[in-house]
Amino acid sequence: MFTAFDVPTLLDCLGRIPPVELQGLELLRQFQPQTGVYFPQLPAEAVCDATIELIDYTQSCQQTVRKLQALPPTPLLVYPVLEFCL
Amino acid sequence: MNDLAAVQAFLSAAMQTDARLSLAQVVAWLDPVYLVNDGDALSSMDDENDVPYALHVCRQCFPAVYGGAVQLLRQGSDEVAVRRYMCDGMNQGLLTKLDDLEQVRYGVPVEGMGLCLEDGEFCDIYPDLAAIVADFGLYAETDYTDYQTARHIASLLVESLSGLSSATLNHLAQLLTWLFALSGNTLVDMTMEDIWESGMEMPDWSPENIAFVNAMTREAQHIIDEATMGEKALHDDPALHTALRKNIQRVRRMLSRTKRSKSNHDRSVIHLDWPERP
Repeated sequence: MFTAFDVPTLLDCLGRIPPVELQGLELLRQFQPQTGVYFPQLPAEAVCDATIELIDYTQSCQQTVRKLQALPPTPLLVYPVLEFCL
Repeated sequence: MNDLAAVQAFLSAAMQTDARLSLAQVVAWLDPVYLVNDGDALSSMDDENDVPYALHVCRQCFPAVYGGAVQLLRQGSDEVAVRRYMCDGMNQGLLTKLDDLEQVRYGVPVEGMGLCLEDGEFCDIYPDLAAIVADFGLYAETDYTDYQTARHIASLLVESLSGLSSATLNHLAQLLTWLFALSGNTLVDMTMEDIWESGMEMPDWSPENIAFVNAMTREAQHIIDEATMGEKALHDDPALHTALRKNIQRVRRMLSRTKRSKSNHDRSVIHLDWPERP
């Protein structure tokens, strides 16, 4: 049973979250040129969905950051946080 | 492949092994405007070049167009083709179209569809409408000092017509609404010149404002479509036109009596006869 956690444990938990699978990443993996050019040359239509998804993802990340910045403190009455014990 | 290109290919491949670097690479590839996406960058952009500004707008409001435009730029397409691509793409989502990308800087485009009765060319452009306006005592050769009275009469007629269940009479109400700027819809009530002279600023680019302007334009087009049907009904139905003229005179007499007696008129005592119409 979970009774306590510390900051390294929390970081470890977050670090184990797998990277998000974006269409853009997949396209880059598939069509990454081996000729010294950084970006693949694909028709505009082929990357539109990936671009929309990437913009949505960026916006949702920014929204999450804003929410976290405004997160009210939550009293932890049951779980001891070892680094901040009184 | 020369050494420099080989190093670049090596670095590019190495970036793939790290999730964060891969993501950064994808952002640089597909969404480069994100890197300069702030107000200061927007305001400092070269006024002569509309493409960067339009890219920002598209990123926010038309992401598919943005995605395509970025790739066209990467492929070295000429500026004319990119501008045309963006303009056409944005126009897919706008009811009032952009003529050119340079209009993007002014905000979401709107189209004033109102009428200016005082305009010297009104009678030439809209002879049929001018004939209806003349029924209210407004003629091209007059200075339209009676405009407010005519507008007041029209508003009472609209009030009377709007309560009826006849589609034809409702179209007639919409015609009067359009002629005398009574709709409450800015696009129906104002001409483009009115909008420019009023100092009104076009709405900023945002998905919400685009939806709002499109809804307002759709409503305006609906009112004007119905007004056009009302104009046709008056043209094709002399009895209806006669009824309109009689009711104008009735309301005018009532207003004169009210003015003479300096009393507040009670609208409930105005009795207007409208012919039965489908």
